[in-house]
Amino acid sequence: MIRNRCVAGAARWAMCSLVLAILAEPVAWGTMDSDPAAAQRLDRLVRAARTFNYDATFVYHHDGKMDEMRIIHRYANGEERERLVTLSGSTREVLRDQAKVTCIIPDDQTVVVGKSRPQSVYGTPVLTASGYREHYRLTLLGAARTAGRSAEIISIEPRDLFRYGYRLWLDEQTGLLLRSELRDPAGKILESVVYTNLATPETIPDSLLRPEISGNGFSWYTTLDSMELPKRSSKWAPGWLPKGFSMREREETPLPSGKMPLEHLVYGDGLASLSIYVEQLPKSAPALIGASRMGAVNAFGAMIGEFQLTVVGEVPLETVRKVAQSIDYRG
Amino acid sequence: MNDHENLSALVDDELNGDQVEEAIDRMISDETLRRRYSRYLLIGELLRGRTAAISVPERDGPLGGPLLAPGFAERVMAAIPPASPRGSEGGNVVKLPVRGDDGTPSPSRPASARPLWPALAASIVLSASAGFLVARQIPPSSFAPRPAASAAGVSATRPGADRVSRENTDASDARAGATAVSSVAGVAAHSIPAGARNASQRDWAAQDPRIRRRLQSYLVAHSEFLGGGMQGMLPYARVVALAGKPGGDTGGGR
Repeated sequence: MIRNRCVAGAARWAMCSLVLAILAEPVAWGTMDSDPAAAQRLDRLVRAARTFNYDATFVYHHDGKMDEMRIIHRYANGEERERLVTLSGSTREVLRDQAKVTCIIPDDQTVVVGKSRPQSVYGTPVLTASGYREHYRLTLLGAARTAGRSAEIISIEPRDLFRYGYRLWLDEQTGLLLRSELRDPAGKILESVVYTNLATPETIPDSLLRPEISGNGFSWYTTLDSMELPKRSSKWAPGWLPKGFSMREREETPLPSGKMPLEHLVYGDGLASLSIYVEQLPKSAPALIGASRMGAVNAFGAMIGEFQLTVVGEVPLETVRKVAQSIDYRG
Repeated sequence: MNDHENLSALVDDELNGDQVEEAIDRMISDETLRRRYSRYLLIGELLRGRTAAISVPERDGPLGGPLLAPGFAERVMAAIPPASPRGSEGGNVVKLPVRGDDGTPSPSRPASARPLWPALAASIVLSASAGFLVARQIPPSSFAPRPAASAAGVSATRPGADRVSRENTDASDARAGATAVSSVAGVAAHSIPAGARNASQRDWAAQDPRIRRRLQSYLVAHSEFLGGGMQGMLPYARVVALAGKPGGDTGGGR
């Protein structure tokens, strides 16, 4: 009977230990099943995307449609310049340098110009983002062949339902991206990019980085006058964010209407990000009320008085909606 | 006054006898006006906290949720102070017009505590007498309270996860240093109308061109923060793909 009591006691102790282990802090639990090798590959990808010269074509698959595009990236004297141009359908282009991003959309007779942020985004290795592994499980899945090159497959799996995940095929030789899939928390593929050709020339001439479209006669929309402001001074704040999201940037952009400037708050967890825009609309301007989808990017709009609140993010609809519903104003 | 202004005034009990009859005659013959009127009634009910949270089953996720966060009506009503002069000091009342969801302005109304209920009651009686039931516009099932299990807080369990994570909230950064929410003078929060349920996942291409352009500029600015640096310019592939005319190559389903 004493022996049985000891066995029973040991079993209880083991069970308690197991329960305690299961209830352990998610950081510890999370890092136990993330692969350091996968994280290293991601760091290599971030550096390669910034510092390599490459000229590549790829197919962007989304919403049952495919768009073929070409991307040209040059890194010289510590500066990046790049150009993205469509190869199917109407010609649309995006040009990016250290100062600005210019999107030329002939279909809408529109040019949209915004600030580029090469340092803040491209200079941040994935691993150093705080709590990154707490919210995603990184796994090295194995090897494959794509675009005629050998690749390693990395899985980035979200640990909750409020963010998306990725599956990435990385070139073994350069570390550059060869294929990517954006997946919802259930694993469903929302969109994918498949490279069909990748070249890494020593030099890239200026001619390849100039637009084919002039944009003359188009309507121009710009946020170049935006000013970065202290993060804590906004009068608007979300009451709820997914775990691990913190404010990354806050800026204001003057508007030609002379009304209060457009306020832009950016929150992120190191991989996913969402933006809150607060804009005082002119009386004649229509408002976005409710949900809207821009590919894998979800938006949710509401009006408070004359203020249009819009939450935009590459996150599930439920996430942008919860954030939008939680926004408060502090006078 | 245009039709929109007439409806606002009808709900606010600001019309005389002849004007009321004229407004009702217009609604009898115009379905758009009837739907808008029912939305105004719903908005009023929500602001007065007389309607349970409306559950909206999500098409894209397993989480249903209230159309409005619990306590939303109370927060809004607490933020609306008694009327005082525009631009008065101390961040107090500034009369802000309420915008209809079709973008047309409504006359500035004092964000007063004048009760809406008598106007609603009168409106419903008048509506009934006009031979149509506004309540029919809103299915009774839309008012079903949220299931108790999910009302306790959002469970962030991933499919197949071997344990339930804690409630996924981390508002500490969002709230750090925040003072108590003071009144946004004159703000009558424009609640998300029942029609937004139908707008769930509405493709941006279907939006008003002015909204689309605004979203496009937002997307361009937001794309700078996407991908954690892993994807270079790829986030902009979405910008140009979405901006293309319909009729891009169809690759079939996945």
